[in-house]
Amino acid sequence: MDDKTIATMNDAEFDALVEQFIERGEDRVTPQTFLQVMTDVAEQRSQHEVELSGRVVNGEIIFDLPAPLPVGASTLYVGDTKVTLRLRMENSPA
Amino acid sequence: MFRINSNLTPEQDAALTDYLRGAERLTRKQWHRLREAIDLLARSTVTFQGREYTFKWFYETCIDRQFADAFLQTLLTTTDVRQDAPRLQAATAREIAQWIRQQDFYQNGQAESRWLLIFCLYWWSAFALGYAFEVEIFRDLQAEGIEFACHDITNRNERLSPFDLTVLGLRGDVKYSTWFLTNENARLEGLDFFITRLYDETGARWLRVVLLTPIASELIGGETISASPAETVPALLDAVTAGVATLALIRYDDWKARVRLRQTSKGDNPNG
Repeated sequence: MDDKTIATMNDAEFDALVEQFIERGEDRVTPQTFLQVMTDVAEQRSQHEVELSGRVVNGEIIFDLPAPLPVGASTLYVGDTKVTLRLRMENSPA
Repeated sequence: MFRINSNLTPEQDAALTDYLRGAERLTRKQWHRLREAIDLLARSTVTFQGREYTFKWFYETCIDRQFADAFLQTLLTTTDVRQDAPRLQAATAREIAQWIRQQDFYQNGQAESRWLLIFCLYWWSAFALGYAFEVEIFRDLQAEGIEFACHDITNRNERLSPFDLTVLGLRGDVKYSTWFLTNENARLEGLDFFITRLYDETGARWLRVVLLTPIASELIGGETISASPAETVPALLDAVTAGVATLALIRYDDWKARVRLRQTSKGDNPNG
C-alpha cells in the first residue's frame, strides 16, 4: 500500500488513510526538520511573487483571506513597512 | 466539474500521501513537494452549485464558514484543551468529510474528488489544532500573570487579524508548526514573534518554542548564539539559539520568564 498514492489507491485504502489522518492529531515535526525546512522556505522566497485580491467596501479595501502578506483593512505589511492604501474613485470618460 | 492544476506531479501526489501517513516520514525534499502540492491544489477548481471555486475559496466559503465558529465555541468551553481538542477536531473532520462526500461533484474513486477532500481536511486539521494551541497559550499566559492583549477568536473579523496577540507592545502569532512548512504564502513580515510547538524525538516530548525577530529578542534580553538547523536544537535551547535567518529561537518557558521580568521591571532597562 505504501507505494500507492491518493490518485492510485483503491477506495478502501483511501478511506483508511483519511481516517488515519483524522485521528492522528498534531504533526510530530522535530526542531531540526522545522528549522531546516524553514530555512529552505526563506531561501526560496527571495524570488517570490505574490498577488493580493480583494474588494472595496465603504471606501476601504478588504483583502481576500488568507492573503500572502499580513493585511488589514486598506493596510498591508511588507517587511518592517506598514503600507496604507488611499485610493480615489474616479469615473473614466465614456 | 474539477480542474486540477496541470502541474501537479506524481511526486507531489506521493509527498501529500506520505504526509497523510505521518509528517515524520517526510524527507526535506518531500516537504518541498508537499508545499508545492498544497499550493497547486489551492489554485485548482471545482464547480459547485453552478459556480467555479478554487479549492482555497471552496474551503473558505463552504468549510470554514460552515464549521469553524461552532468548533471554536465548543473549544472555549473545554477545561482541558490539550486533551479535548484532538477529539473535537476529529469529530468535525468526519462531519466535513461526510458533507463533501454528499455533494454532487464528489465521485468515489476519482482522484480529483479525493484531492479536494484531502485539501479541506488538511486545512481543517491545521486550523483546528492551531486554534487549540492558541487557546492553550492564551490560558497559560493568563494563568502566569503575563500582560498581553489578544484577538477574540469567536469573532471572525478579529480572527482574521494580521496578528494574534501583543506582548510588550510586540505583535505575535501562535501557529501550528506545519503551517510554517506547508504554506507557500506563509509570511513572517510585520510580526515580531511566533509561538509554536515542536516534537523532540530523542526526549519523546513536545517543546513549546518562540521564534523572535531581532527587535523582540533584544527587548527581552539575553545572548544569541548561531547554530545550524542540523544541530541538536533541544540541547541548544538551554541557551537562546539562532534559528532561521535572523530569527532567534527560545524555549517558551524561558521567553515567559524574560517577559515577566521585563514587565515587572521598574526602569527602562530591557534586561530588567
